[in-house]
Amino acid sequence: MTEVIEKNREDEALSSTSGYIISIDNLNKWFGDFHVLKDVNLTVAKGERIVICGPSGSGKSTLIRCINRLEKHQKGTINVMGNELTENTKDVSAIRQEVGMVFQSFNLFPHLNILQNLTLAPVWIRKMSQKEAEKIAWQYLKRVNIAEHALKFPSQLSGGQQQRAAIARSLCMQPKIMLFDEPTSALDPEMVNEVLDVMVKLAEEGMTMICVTHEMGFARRVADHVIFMDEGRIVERQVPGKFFSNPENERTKEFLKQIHAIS
Amino acid sequence: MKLNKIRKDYFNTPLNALMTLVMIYLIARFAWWFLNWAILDAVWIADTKDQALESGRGGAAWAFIINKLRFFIFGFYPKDEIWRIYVTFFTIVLSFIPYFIKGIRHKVIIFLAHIIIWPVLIFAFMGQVSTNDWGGLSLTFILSLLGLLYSFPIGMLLALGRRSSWPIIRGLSVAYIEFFRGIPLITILFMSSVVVPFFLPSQVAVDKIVRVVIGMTFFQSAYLAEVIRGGLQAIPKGQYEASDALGFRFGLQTYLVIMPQVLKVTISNIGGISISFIKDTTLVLIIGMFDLLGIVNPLASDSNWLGMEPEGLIFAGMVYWIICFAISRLTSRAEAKMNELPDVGVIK
Repeated sequence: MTEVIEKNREDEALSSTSGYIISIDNLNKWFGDFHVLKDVNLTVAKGERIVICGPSGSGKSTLIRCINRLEKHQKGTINVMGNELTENTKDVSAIRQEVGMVFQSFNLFPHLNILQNLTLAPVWIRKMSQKEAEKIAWQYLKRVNIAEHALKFPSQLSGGQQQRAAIARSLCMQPKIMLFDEPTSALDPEMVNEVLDVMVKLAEEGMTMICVTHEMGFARRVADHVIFMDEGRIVERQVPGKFFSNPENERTKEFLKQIHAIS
Repeated sequence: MKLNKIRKDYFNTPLNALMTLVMIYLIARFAWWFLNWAILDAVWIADTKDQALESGRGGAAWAFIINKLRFFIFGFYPKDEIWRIYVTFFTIVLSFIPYFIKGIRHKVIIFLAHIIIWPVLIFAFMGQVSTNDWGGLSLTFILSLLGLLYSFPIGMLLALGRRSSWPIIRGLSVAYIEFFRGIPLITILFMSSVVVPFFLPSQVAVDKIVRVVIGMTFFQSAYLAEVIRGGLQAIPKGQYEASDALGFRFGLQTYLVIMPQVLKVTISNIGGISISFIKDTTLVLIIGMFDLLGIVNPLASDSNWLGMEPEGLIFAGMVYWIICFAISRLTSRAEAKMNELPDVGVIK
């Protein structure tokens, strides 16, 4: 218990000194010869909600995957809660515990039921007792509206239910930051809203969130800033009002036009 | 409808009809002869071959098996000490019980306990009698059990090693796997029984059975490694990423997320190669050990029972078949059970 309190104090100290919970400076990444991320700078304050959009192949997913080091970068610095991510970062796992991630394809563990999916990491990594972990799991299961399916296996649930379970699984680690990598792209249209509702609720509770998504309604509603990426660069960063009504960059205008044409 | 199909498949032309009839006749003839030999004319009780011949009508002398049953099962283990084998195997069977207890969460601890307890039990307790006297079915079981027990963890480590990002570990794993898959088991057995002792200093005497088990483990683990590697490749990348993102490190990730899924997809293959491994243990007869198959010859050289090889071999074959069939059924049941999803309704 005291450990947790100390930890929180540390976190607060960190965010108050640097001001940002994530700061990315001059980030460059290559996949072989392909230059995916070019001089990306990004800062995220605690509690800030950021939506990243852009055409496919623009590097948005790669960018957020760099934040929990699922991808390694070659140049520049990434600082997450006061820890710089480098080749020498001794314990990436310690940082990952504080950064939840939700994937396009849910990636629930198919051999465990939903409740076990949720308690696995808290029990083994946070060293919680099974009882305590289950208590927390039930809370989140109720919050994402899926408690009644807790004992089913992932393959017995619909896509929307699986994605909500995946969000709950991340939340059970009680992360400081949540990353969403196109969480609704793999869903049938009628299931998109149930997942977005959960995300909106989370945003309203003050979670720091970075979402890669094409759901512009969601961006308009919850984002503090919308970022537009193209060809590995951050082209524009705006508050949503300005982003949608009066974007500065030509390519942003083009992109929004295409999106509007669809919806 | 079924009759129609038979007519269509087997009697569609006169030639086919004739062939079918001839085949039915031959099969029936053989079956009848075998039934007579194996059961109707068989001799079940006799003390010597001559007695059996006198009383019988030319059928199988199963009396040989019944008379020698002790040797088929326990080899040349002294009669007064056989209780040691009973105790050993009874304990081994009992040691499986914890796997089925629901409350135990870490079945791997049971497995680790087996790795230590089984050989101690076998070599310290049964080993009070020289291993030269071991034989029969109990030797087959010992070789199979120990070989499989050790090749499992080693095979898993090799499979993981082969996919490691460290070039040294990967290289060593590949070298090991390809080396032992590339040479026949017989060669390994010869090496372990003849060549290894030659290079060891004379004070170091490692028991022959230990050497054979080690050799077989080398061999089997290389094959298991390939099966498990296949399973590893079937696990989607998302499973690694999701567990990475939750903060799992390699060890726990492998133990809690990856391996359970690998075992699920590979269980029927593992069952398959375990069966062929058990059958491969018969090769030890070439280096002079009398397992269930190997003991047929010495028993049939008994002056009272000369030339009883056919009965002995058929009996040994039947026992192998029963063991292998049981394992095959067990693995397919385990597989079905693993893939079974619970029928959980909505909970309130």
